[in-house]
Amino acid sequence: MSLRNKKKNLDTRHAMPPEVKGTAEVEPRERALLERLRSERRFVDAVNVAVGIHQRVRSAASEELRRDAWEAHIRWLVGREADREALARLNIVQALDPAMRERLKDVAPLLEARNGGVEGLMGLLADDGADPAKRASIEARIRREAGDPARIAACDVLPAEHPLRVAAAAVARALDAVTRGPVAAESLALPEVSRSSPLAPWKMMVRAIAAFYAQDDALCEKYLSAVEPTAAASRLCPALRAMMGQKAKLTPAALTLAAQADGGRVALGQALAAVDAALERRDHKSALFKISRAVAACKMHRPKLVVALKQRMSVGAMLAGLRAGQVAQALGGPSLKNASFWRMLARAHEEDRAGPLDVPLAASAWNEFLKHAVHERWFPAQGPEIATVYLHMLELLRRIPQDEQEGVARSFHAGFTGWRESYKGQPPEVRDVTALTGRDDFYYLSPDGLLERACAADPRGENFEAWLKRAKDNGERGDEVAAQWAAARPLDIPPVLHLMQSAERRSAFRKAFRLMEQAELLDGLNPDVRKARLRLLVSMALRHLRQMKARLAEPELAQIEALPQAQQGDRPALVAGLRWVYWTLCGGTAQAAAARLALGKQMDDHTAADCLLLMVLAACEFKGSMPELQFKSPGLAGALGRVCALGEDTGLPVEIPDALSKQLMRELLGKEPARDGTGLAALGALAIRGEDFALAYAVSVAGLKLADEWRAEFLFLRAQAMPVWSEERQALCAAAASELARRQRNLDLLRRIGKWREEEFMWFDHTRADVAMTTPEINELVAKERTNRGYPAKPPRSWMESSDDGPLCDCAACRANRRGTPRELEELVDSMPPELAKVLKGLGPEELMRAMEEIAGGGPPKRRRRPRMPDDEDIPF
Amino acid sequence: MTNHIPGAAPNDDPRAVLEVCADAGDEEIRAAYLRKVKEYPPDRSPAEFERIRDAYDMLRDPRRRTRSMLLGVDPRKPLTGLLDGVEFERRFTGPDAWLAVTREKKA
Repeated sequence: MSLRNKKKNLDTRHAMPPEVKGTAEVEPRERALLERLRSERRFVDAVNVAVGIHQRVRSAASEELRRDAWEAHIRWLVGREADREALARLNIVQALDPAMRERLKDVAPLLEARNGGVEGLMGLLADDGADPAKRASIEARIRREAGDPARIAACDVLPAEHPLRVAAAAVARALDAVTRGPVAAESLALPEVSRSSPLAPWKMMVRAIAAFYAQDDALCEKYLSAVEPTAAASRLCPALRAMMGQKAKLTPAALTLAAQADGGRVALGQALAAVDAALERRDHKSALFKISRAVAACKMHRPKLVVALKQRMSVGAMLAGLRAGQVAQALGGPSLKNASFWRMLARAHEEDRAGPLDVPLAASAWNEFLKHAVHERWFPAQGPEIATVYLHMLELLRRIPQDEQEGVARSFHAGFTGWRESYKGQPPEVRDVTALTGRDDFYYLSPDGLLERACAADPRGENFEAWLKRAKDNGERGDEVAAQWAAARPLDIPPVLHLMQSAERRSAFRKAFRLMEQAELLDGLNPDVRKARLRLLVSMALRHLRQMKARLAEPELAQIEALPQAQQGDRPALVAGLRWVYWTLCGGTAQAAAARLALGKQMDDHTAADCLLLMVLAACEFKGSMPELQFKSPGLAGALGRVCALGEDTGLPVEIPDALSKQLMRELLGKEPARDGTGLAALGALAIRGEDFALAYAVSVAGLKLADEWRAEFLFLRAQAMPVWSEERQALCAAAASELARRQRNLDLLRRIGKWREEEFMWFDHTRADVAMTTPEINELVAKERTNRGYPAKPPRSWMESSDDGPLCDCAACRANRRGTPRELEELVDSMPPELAKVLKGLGPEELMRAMEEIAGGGPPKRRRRPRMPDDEDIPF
Repeated sequence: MTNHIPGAAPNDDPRAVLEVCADAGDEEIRAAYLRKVKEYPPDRSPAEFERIRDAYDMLRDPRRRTRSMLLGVDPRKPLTGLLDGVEFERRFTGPDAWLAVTREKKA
């Protein structure tokens, strides 16, 4: 705005209208000006103008204008809650013009009520002639402003029997009663206070206070919810809620009330919240100060919580990176290192996950917890509880990849000095626990050690099973574990079966037989047990025949012939084959011929009979005169399949002779497929075991021509047989096999697929394999695989390394091969932006690893909060 | 063993639900469970029955009980959580302190 206009406005603001000489009336222009000023809320100017007009005109009209201006100004001040100025103005104008008393008679009481005194408002109620609307308005004011029922009760502006005074007196008495001691609910009925009374909120509040003191927080909250939020009584709601443990912002008077009434809950809660906030912000200086204040508050209000609080704060401070010594000082002494503390510390390290050493630290803390927990009688030294803790520690160890476990354990051994510093300043009952238990043997870093202890503490089947599985997976101590299991739980079959199978593998057949008999006593219907007798007898007979001790084989052969299960399927043919060898060695030509006849009759297929006899002769390492054997095609694949299946069933070792290999391959890939799915599956399994993947692939070609029920089995065989450069196909075949097996509820096949994925293809991208395939997708895949009859012997050009034919292959697998880096690392490089990937590909292996660590860590190696083994200063004190 | 299974809210502490003491044996726990089930049968109080059943399952299996005890502690939980379930003595003060709040002027 220009200076000239400003001046003009200024002038206009204070300018009087042009004087009309001698005019004794108020001009319309003047009235308009006053209206304008009031509409613009320029009440001070309006008053000045009105006063000026009246000074000039001195008429009733001008006086009325002046009174209007004064009233508007004062009411405006009241509306703005400028009570002091309004009251001052009110006094002035009432002194200047007594008529203003009547016009503003409601203003003074209102101002008074605001300042705590409701007497003025009540005085207005005394006027019986007041209209109902105004009366309701006054009562609403009283409801909002009346902060002290006793003042209303004592106010003699109204007669003593006035309902409002009677109600107020009742409320005041009730309030006095509930705040001095327990009261009966009946005494809080307060019939004097009606629902519509301005004191109705006070009725609810009094009952809320009674419920609060009766420790009935739910009822208290119910009454608090019934108090109108605008009522004066509702000012107590935040205080009551805070005293019941809810979060609320409190005024100074409310804080004072809480300090007196709630036993320190609010004060302590605020102190603890302040510590939480400081630790959250990692404001170390503030945190230390708040910690000491919180301890002081706790000592004052809740001494029994001090121990737990110090423990929590020391661990929380450790997580926030505070130094132990400073925290100890702030706490006023070390926290108590009992079982609760060690449990808290162990959980803190579990959750922290700042680095690989957090796991052994957590495990070590759990070890300390165990010592103290047993000492404090949380649970006995042996039992399911302590076993559960061991198993929990085992779960922790599983966070470390298996191939890194040893390295982490070594680092921990080398750097960890124990917790002895933590025990300084501890009471004897805590310190003595460490004396009882001796040196730390770091058993908690060994899954084997943990499982052993868990089984000793709680010798249940599940624990032993887990231990034995681990032992078998790692190829160590399996027999020892099984023996311990069998000793602890003599009625369990699995350890006996394991020991039996182990003895069988070592060719300790007598021992295996004894164990088999023991297993039969425990569970004769177990399928593994039922198969074991025949299998062991066959193995024992073969051993004697290999050693050319035919007579020694006689008891076993007799037992086999007497077995009911030896009469099933093709098994009699095997027996006949063994008898042929027996009689040949014994010189019984006729008997040998009869046995051969029986073999042929049993198999009902010359080729199959001759294949079986060939395998028996190979298993017996027969050195005598070989009989004439013929292997005709077609039918060789089926015959060998039958023999493989029989071999799997009875333990007869089966190996495909090289001489038959080509013929077999031709037949499998030919037009006349074998029809025996079981035999083909056994043949395929044999090929996989012997790592003859081309043969396994050929078996899958034949198998996929069979009925749909066999698709799952042979898709899985296809996946197993394919070379490493066909991961995509492998994944799809495995996924399809898995889906089909799921639909067929073929749990055995599902288990085998799962085990194969785990063992063989750790780096597999399971994304596609894990997605369930639809029927059309499976059908499409099967159709495609059926056409792929040739084994992919040569990798595609792009997969191969070549310096002569062109640039080196840049795929992740080739780079990993060349550089000796993990394949998944190279795949990660491929996923980076192109420019970055280009740089990373040019780095050497170590530089690449470092660079990837930096990238994963978000920049150059930062100073980690806990990069080193914890020293004494790090251990929470 | 501690009287309270840490980490459990006061209303969900299995011992509090079944109203058994810290060193209650299996027989006592079972008797308490049967008593509670009679009081809150599943057809009439399904929600309460479920609480009682869960509490019983927790207490009678020492392994579950122990796991709950191990994992029920959360070092990152706010310190104010220490006050959960703690009863503070509520002291009678007379009406003046209460009225001081209602008379306090707004800032």
